[in-house]
Amino acid sequence: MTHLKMLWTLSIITAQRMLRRKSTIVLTIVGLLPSIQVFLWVVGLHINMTPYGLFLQFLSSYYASLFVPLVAIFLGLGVINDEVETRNITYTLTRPIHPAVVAAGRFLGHYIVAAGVVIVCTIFVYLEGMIFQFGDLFAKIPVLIGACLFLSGGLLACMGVVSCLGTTWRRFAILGSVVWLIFDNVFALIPFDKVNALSIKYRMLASSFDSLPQAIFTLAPIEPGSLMMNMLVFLLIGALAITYMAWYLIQFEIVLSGSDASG
Amino acid sequence: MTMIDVQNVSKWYGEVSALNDVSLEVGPGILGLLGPNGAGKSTLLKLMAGQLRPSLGSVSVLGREYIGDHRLYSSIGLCPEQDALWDEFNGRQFLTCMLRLHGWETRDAQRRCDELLSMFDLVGAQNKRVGGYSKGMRQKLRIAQSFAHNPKVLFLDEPMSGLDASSRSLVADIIRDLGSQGVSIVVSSHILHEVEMLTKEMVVINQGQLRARGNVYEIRELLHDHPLQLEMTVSDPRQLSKALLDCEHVVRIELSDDQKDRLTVFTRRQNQFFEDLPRILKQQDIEIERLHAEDEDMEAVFKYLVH
Repeated sequence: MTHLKMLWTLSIITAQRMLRRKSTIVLTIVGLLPSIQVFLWVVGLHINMTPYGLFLQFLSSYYASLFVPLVAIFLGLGVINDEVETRNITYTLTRPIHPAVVAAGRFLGHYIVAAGVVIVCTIFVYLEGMIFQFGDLFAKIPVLIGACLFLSGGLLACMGVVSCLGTTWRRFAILGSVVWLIFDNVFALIPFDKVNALSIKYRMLASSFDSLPQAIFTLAPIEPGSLMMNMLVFLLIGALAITYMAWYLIQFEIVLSGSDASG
Repeated sequence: MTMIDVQNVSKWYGEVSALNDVSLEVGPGILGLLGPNGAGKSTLLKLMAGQLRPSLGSVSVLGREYIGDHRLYSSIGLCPEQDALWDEFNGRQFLTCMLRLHGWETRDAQRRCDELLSMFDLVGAQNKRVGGYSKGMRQKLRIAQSFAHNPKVLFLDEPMSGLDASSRSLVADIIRDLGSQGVSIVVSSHILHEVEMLTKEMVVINQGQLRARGNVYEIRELLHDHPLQLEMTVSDPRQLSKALLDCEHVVRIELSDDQKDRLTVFTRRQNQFFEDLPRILKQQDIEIERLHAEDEDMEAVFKYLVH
């Protein structure tokens, strides 16, 4: 019970810190960029798609392919890394909180903000399209809910991967994240089920209730509708990431210069 | 009553030895940990605060060892040396969060926060972002968070760093007050004067080993026994050196080959030297341009204690 209470307290404090950072505001603005395209449709500037078509297009080509990995890299890399680099980790590691709870609380705090940004932006673009033309509104709402679920699930997995990279290779973490992102996209393109299963992007696209248009040419057909299975996989990746970071913090030592040594 | 027990502790960073077979017992009250930069005092402090694990030996605080016992931190406070704070928050929010991470309810944390802000003269800045605080204000906030939760053992790493004279006096009063209440406080510093403001009991550490333990008077004696080195620029260095050599406390004098108006005097009793010098200068009609004590800090004592 105490662990859960401390986990929640640390998560909320971490989320409050993240919300006060300018990078969070910048990310939100980046997340709202697709709304400009809807605006262009409204004023009739050569957008040959309905607002709902645009929404599905954004889900596929923008949110799942670009924005979620971007948010994961910007917010996920710092889960442990930022605290170590700024030496602020001292404040959490000298409280009566188990290091595993510190790792989980920090991750959860970052995730709450990141998922909030992704969901708010997705809903905003959906509502924008709904205002102008969605046809049968209530038939489309499950698609929006499904989209919010698979985007936040995919974000959890992406943040898990990126936060582990940030914890392990602090200086090369951005490079490592970009390399991982390339591999994730390549795995989504190769037309073999077992390879596709390694790709978080593919799993996000395959979780949609409605068929999504292909953002880039792919040989692999993406069948929609396996949301629950993919959500479990995303949760598993997130849990593994927290376990790894907890193991890292349990062994963590702060050395004279403020850098750290493990083991 | 032993509150901190360090037994035969050694610490290596790779092949570099930072501490070598250090044993130390600390009871209630304030203990100064003195040493030059790189002496190993921060390593020792971090070992005692559970931030590092000993390569050999054991550290126990309040009869318990750190490994696997994170709850021990509810009785321990640490003011880190590094200038790190949660810059996103204002002073009040930062202190409240620190207390909430100790399991305090928000209302109790707010009340304690009011006390601390008032105690450290930070009420006016409580709603300002910590990122915009001056160095002294940041240091006061770091000290405030370290004992906000009323710990039994407190570790302060260079607590006077960045503070102006009035803030030093304020912080010294607060720390002394905590020490008189029975809190075991270890203060690390490389400046004797700063530690003297807080306590008479101190430990000198250098090259990873404890060199001396005693009260400030004993350490001061060592300082007096060690020849103080003074560099002077005068109108007639040769005449002055002849006159100074008659003084019993002057050990030796070195004349500079490069700068003909300069000499270096080594004296065992600096107070006596400063009493004699004006008289000699007046008698010999010598003008003085510059007087500089080369080693008037702890560095000289540390060197003396080592050799």
